[in-house]
Amino acid sequence: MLILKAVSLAPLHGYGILLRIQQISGGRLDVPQGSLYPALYRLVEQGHIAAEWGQSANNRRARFYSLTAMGRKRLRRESAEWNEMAAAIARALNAMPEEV
Amino acid sequence: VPRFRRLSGRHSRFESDLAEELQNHIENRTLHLTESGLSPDDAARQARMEFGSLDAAKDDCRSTRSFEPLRLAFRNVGWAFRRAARAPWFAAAVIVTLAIGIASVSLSAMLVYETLLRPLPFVAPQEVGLIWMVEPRGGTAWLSVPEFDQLHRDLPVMASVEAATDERVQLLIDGRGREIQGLAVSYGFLSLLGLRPSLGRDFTRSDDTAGSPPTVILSRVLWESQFGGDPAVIGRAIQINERAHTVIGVLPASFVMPPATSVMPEEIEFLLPLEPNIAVRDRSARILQVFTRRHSNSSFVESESGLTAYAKLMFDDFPDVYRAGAWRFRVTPFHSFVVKRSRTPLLLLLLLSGLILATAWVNATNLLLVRGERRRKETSIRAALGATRLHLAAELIAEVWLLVLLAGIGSFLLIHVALPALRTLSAGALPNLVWTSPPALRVLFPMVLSLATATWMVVMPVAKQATLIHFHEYGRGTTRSRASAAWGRRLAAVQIALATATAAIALCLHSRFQQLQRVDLGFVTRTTITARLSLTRRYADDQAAERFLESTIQRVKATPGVLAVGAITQLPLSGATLGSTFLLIGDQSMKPRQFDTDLRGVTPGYFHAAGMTMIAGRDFGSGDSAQSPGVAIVDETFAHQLAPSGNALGQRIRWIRAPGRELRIVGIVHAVRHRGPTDTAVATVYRPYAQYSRRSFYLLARTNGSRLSADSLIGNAVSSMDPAQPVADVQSMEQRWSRATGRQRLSLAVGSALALVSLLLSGAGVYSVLAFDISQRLGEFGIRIAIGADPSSIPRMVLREIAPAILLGVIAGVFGAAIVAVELRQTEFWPSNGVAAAVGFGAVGTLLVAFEASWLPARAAATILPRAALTAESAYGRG
Repeated sequence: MLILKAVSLAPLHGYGILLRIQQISGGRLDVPQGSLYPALYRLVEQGHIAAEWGQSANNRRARFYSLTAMGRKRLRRESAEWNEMAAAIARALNAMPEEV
Repeated sequence: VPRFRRLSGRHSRFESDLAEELQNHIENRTLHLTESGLSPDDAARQARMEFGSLDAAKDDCRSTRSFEPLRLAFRNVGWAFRRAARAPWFAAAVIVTLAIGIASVSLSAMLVYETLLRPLPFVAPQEVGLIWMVEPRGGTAWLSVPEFDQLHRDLPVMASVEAATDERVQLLIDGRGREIQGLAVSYGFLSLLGLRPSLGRDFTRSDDTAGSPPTVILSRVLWESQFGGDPAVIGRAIQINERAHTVIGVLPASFVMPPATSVMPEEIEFLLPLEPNIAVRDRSARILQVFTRRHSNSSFVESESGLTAYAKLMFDDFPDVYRAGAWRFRVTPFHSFVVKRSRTPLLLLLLLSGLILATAWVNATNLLLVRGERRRKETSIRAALGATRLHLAAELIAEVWLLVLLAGIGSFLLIHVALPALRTLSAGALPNLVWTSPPALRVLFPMVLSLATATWMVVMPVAKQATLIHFHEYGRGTTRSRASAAWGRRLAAVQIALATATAAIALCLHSRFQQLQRVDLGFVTRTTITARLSLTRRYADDQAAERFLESTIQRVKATPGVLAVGAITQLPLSGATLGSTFLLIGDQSMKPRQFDTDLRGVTPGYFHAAGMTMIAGRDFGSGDSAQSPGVAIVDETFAHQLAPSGNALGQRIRWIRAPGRELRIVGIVHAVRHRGPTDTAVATVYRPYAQYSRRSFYLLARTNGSRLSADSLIGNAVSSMDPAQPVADVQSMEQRWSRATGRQRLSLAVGSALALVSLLLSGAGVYSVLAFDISQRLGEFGIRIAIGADPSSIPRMVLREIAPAILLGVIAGVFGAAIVAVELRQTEFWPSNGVAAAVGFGAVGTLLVAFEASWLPARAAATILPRAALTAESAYGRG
């Protein structure tokens, strides 16, 4: 979901995705680098993201990942589910004695 | 090919893209770290460490691809081929070992399945049984025509009862006679078995009535060979025994009646209806094999007890036939009768080949473990570099499976070669049914066994390898593992035990076969030619038959190289016997004593031709004609029964079937084992052919050993007198002896082959275990020699270490052989004495092979110079 979110903002190469996740999570989430690529390849194989070779900022050949329509749908669904779950957990944790 | 190229191009692009992308990632990270203040070297190192194993990441990326498992499998198979090519001797040893083991078990399992387990080719074969007469002395007999008629009419307890007896007839086609064999059956015989003719119709009640127009059903083989498979043959008349018979049907190709017995011919070429073709109706002439089908909701035991109640009434009506009142019926499943005599040799065969396969498994596993040891270092390094357990295991599995696959193919080829040889070897030893199996079985058994082998062989080496894949093992890559040396010795002990047991059993079988060869049958088997003549209707008159026989004997005798000729109604080893009863004429006031004996008619000169010795009295002569006083010659067994202390010569007996004529005993001959070397001699009365004339008899000619063809010798003599007179069952006496001992010969031949293979396998197994063990310890030996040990002490030390395993193996093998000996003690396959010697020889033989196999590598170790020994290990570690 995090990878889908990262590439939904703009097409990114692998290292860019890693940095973007760190950035949007406020440095709280650190994805193990060795695990990133198998996850990317799996999402490509499933059709949720697409990969294309292009030029990176430092003018090198890099593989850019972007969200597909299917990926967009999945991101929407998973985000909704996550938000719902998070809200439920937050509601549960904020419950006051008079609400019981 | 283009598709493969496309796939392969796509794969290499994937690989290069993946490598570039990961490299980019590390470079980006390095740049990032450099910008944050690290030196370029430190940054690069840090980036690598953060990323972890590149290979593992690549493997994980590859595994996400949908066709990855297939590609991996291809890669592993290619890898396995390269491995096998790099160590061809190792691969060949494993493949040959396994191929022999799989082929031997497949062959014997195939024979066991087809003979003992496969249902007979009838409808609901488990309901088909045989009805026997049990004589007061416990012996079993077939049924007579009146007995069958009664059962068939009254049908007590069973669903149906039908009968069959063998018929040999003359088929006349274009003026030439040919003897064909088949069955005379009651009209419901085929429907009892649940079969129908594939062409035409079955017999009806009116066909099976005396005086009805003659009809015949042909076998498929006869129909195709003699009538060109022409469907128009139905309704046509053919000449059988010089009478026109209308062909009413053709049997299905699947029709087989196992096994050949005294009333069941080996091949069934036709069926005739029983009633018009049966001549003997005497209640004591038991010539019918009676089949029954039980009701599906009852058992044979119930059928038998029902028959017992019914039989009492029958027996009471004929007190003169069923004397002593102790007769009864027995009902047995037909299948158990079919497999009765083949069960033991086949199970023995399965046991021995099972031992061989077990040896082969142990041996091949041993070789793989030894190889695994050699790869310890390589495996550890690859594991350290990130190869996953799964990958290493997959590679090993691919290697083992490739070897097993090649072994499976090899075993299939072996079976293809061995099956025809086995068929020739086992002529007469196994029911014909065995050879009618679908060819799919020849593939199925090796396949199942190969799968079992592959599974077994994978488990141990893979488990062993899994324990090696630890980083801490890396440093110990070249050291010898004590645990694996112990494993090797244990496996060697198991192999030696198997080899000892197999060798001991094979030697026992050999000892038994030698005993059989030494058995005095009472007649000469070498240089003797025999053939059966069943006279055509032209010789219906006794005198015409006698004249024809006399001139045939004279013609054969006149052939150069022929020493003596005679004829007998039931030839020894031919399977033909006739049991009968004689009465001793003694004191008129007393009831005559009865003797159950075999009865045979012989021509004058038969005893001389057969090489039988006269003990007392005289041979038959030309004076013993049909008109002269009745005479008989008896064998020593009967003479002893007749007069245990006195002389039987001159005593008078009567044949129960023609009690009006007295027979004076004029001679006593040596007893003969007519049924073969495994049976005892049965009391026999011989009568002169002139006084006991029969339409069917055997000619026997003893030659001076010159290569006379039996076919031309007897065939020419007969056809020169009467071309329409067929000659059948032409065989040398040695061939008959071979058939009579077929089961023992088969067991011996197969047992010996298996024992030899097992011995070789175990020798090779011990050698490989020890050779490897020693090669692992060259460093240790080198140090020992360098610090002053005598090089000649090394072989002794090695032998001392392996000796307990060898001795333990031999002792276990002797125990195994003893268990088999107890099981087989009472069978015709086991020698009456000399078992201990055979087992002893087997044990000593295996011991010698094992020590020789140990001594060779041990002695070789001692000849290596200390310096070479010290360097050898490290060189070995790299290999």
